[in-house]
Amino acid sequence: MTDHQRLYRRLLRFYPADFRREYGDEMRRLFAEQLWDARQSGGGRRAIFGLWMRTIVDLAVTAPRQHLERLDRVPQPVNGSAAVRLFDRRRRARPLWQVLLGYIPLLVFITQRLAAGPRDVLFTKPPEMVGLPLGVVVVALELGLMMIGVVALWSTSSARAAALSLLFFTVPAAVLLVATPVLIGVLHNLKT
Amino acid sequence: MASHRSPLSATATYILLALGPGERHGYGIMSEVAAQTGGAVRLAPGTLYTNIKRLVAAGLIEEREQRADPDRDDQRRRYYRLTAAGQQAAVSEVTRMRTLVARARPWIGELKG
Repeated sequence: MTDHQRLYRRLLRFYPADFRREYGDEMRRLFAEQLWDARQSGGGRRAIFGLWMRTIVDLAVTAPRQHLERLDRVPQPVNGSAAVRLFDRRRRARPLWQVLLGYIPLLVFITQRLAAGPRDVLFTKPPEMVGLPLGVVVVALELGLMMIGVVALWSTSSARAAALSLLFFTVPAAVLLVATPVLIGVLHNLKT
Repeated sequence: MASHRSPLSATATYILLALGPGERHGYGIMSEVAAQTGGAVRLAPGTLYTNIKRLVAAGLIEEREQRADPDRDDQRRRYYRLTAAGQQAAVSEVTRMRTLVARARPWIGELKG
């Protein structure tokens, strides 16, 4: 087993235990085969990097949805037409104002940046990470967290699942967004 | 006659069409979808198996007995195939898409011409 496969095996822990038990072995095997294909493609590290990017996005989208689906059980279909309804997104529609709740972190962010003006601590002051001010990197991660919350809200019709998505994704993203400029300012002052 | 209501998700449709009249395991489905879409769609494991789970729950596909792939010297694999309802849903989707294409063809022809 390669390091890539070991890492993927660990990442599978983000899926619910029952889903892992049912499909974990098959998913690991499929990933191993995709890895083999990437190596055979002649694309070298770039092909493997591309595979990892697809795999991480896939994980970020499907793992939360599996957790939410466990809370949002769909009825068992009795025939083909009923089955088709399971895939009709209109059935799962949630009022727009509820989905907009997921965008609260973005509103927090925009308000903060407007208040901070052009000499914004997030974008002008180091410390740096991967060549960018730390604040930019952290905010990008927080906005990613917010997007997961929005996708989760959009994809469930269960009030409990929606509340959990707000609790685990939206609220932490909003809190981090509020706290980040303060932390960056403190770090900068410590440095100087 | 097959119903034209409620389109399936694109990924679910790809999987149903990849299964077609035969049986395939996960890698076989992924490869067939990639081939049918000219490499544009490469299903990652999470997307593939969450959709397989839904399609099985919906009664559109079913799991067959586990067995080794004769083309690959490896362990036993889980194979899937369409149920009667899955075949009906696939026909329904293809019919719906064919109708869409037929309606779009005249003005697409004008754009090309």
